[in-house]
Amino acid sequence: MTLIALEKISKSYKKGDTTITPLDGVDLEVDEGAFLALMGPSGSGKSTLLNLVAGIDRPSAGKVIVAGQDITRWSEDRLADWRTRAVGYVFQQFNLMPVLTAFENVELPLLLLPMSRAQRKKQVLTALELVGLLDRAGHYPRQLSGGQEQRVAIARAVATDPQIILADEPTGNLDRESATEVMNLLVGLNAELGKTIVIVTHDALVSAYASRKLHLDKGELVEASA
Amino acid sequence: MKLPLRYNLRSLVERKTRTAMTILSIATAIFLSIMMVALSRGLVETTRATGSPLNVIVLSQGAESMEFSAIDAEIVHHLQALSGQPLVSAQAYISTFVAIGGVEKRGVVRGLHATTALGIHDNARLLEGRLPNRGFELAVGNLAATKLGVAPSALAIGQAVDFEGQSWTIVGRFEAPNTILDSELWADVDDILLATKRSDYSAVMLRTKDAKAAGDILFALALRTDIRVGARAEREYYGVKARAMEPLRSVALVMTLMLVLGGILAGMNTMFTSISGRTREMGVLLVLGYHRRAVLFSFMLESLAMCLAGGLVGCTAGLLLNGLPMKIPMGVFRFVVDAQTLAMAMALAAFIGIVGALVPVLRVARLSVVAALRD
Repeated sequence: MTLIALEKISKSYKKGDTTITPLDGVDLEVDEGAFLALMGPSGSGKSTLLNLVAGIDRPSAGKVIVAGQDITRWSEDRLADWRTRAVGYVFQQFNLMPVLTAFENVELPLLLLPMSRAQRKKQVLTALELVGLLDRAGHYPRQLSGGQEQRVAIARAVATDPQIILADEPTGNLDRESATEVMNLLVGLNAELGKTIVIVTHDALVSAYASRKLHLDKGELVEASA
Repeated sequence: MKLPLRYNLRSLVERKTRTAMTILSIATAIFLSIMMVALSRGLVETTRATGSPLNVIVLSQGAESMEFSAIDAEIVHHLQALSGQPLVSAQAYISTFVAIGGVEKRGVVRGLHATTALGIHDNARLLEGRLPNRGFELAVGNLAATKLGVAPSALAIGQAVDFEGQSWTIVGRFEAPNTILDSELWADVDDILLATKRSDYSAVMLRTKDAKAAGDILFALALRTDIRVGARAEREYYGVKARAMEPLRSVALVMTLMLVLGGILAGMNTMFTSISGRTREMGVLLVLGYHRRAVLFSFMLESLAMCLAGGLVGCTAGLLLNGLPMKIPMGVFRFVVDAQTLAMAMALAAFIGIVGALVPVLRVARLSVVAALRD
């Protein structure tokens, strides 16, 4: 069943006097439970595509449909509310709040949902346990290694139990060992919890973990052999 | 939809040097504003409070001030004959150099009669000793030592000071809180006339039984063509003197405004760096599902907290000024810092916090999520 559908998506923006169009009439369907790797050279529009699915960017033309809902023209606030429950986002640079502990970072999106303090604590601890960092709950980001920071960021992304996990170069700032840990974690989320995962990467080793790979180049999406 | 407060508080603690500097600069602006207001209020209110509503002050015609007034003894007799007022006090008022232990200081001396002094000046009371009688005696006001810039022991009972070619012995000490009388030296009026080789008085004070009687006397004096004097309510006399200090108030206001502007710029500068440095954090919070206004509100709150902390420090320091004496030629005044001034100071701090954060907040408010994340 299709969970994410992009219909004739175009995105162009001005840079100085020239108009750049990284996406030009792109169609994409992602099934529920898929693990999709989006590959392509820098500036090919991979991240833009991911941001459109997350509702943090808007297409110049075309439609973004997620779980049957056309989110293309939703207001910023409506998208934010929807994203809290439906989408977990993992950044290349982790983007944890430096002044909050691992526990508090994971708790941040949960504060937006109506739930008791006890329930919230339970969900934070479950997420931290899932990424194997229960013993680091009270640590601040500066007290963690890069790999640990990214695992906390993944715990934050799954804390609200969203259907979709989007990851933009999640291993881009990690050494090979930490990258493997992070990818195994994402594979587990996909295989065991049934999360639909879309990951942007230009690393072939990373894309090897995905069940489906797409190449984006010159505004066109091409299916790569799995 | 609110961000947890600990996020803001820890952000402030994390940048402790910058936070401390901002709090300090806001505190300085608030403290100086309080000082300005306390100074102008002290001066104006002390002057105004010196006059009693039941007193009428009679000066020579055309004279605006006791220092420039001369009332002849004959007029004093006429005034004593006016019906309805139990107390009449002919006074001599001089500003002169007083030698204390060989050092000359400028002081203010009021000559009056011991029998009527406290009846006329009902805001004064004797603290120790007695009021001066004939024989070159003095009673000193509670702030006279401050006014003259000498140690209180130099003006203790039994000590002697010299002025107008005479040696005067201190026999008493009085207080008249929050009035300019508090910094005066009182002597017997006839001794003052003798020492200054004058035959006329500076002013005559009439104490009436109520405000209506005071009005009646003013009216009666205005009709008398045989007594050519300038009479007015004592309140009005000191009110005019207080109004003469209004320009000082304007200066205080302008300085306060400049300090506030400085505070706003300091706050704005800090918030600008703080908010600009956290544009990406804002982007992340938006991605997590926080609404833009909640994030911006939290930044505003942070600025407000910082400025209120500065306000509290400034107010605490400002409160220490309350009651401190300050010297001007006319007398000694005390700084007045009351609840109203402190409330205004805190409101000012809040204003600086909000306005200071507004510009940087409005700047990031327009950024798209993607642009904020790229920062």
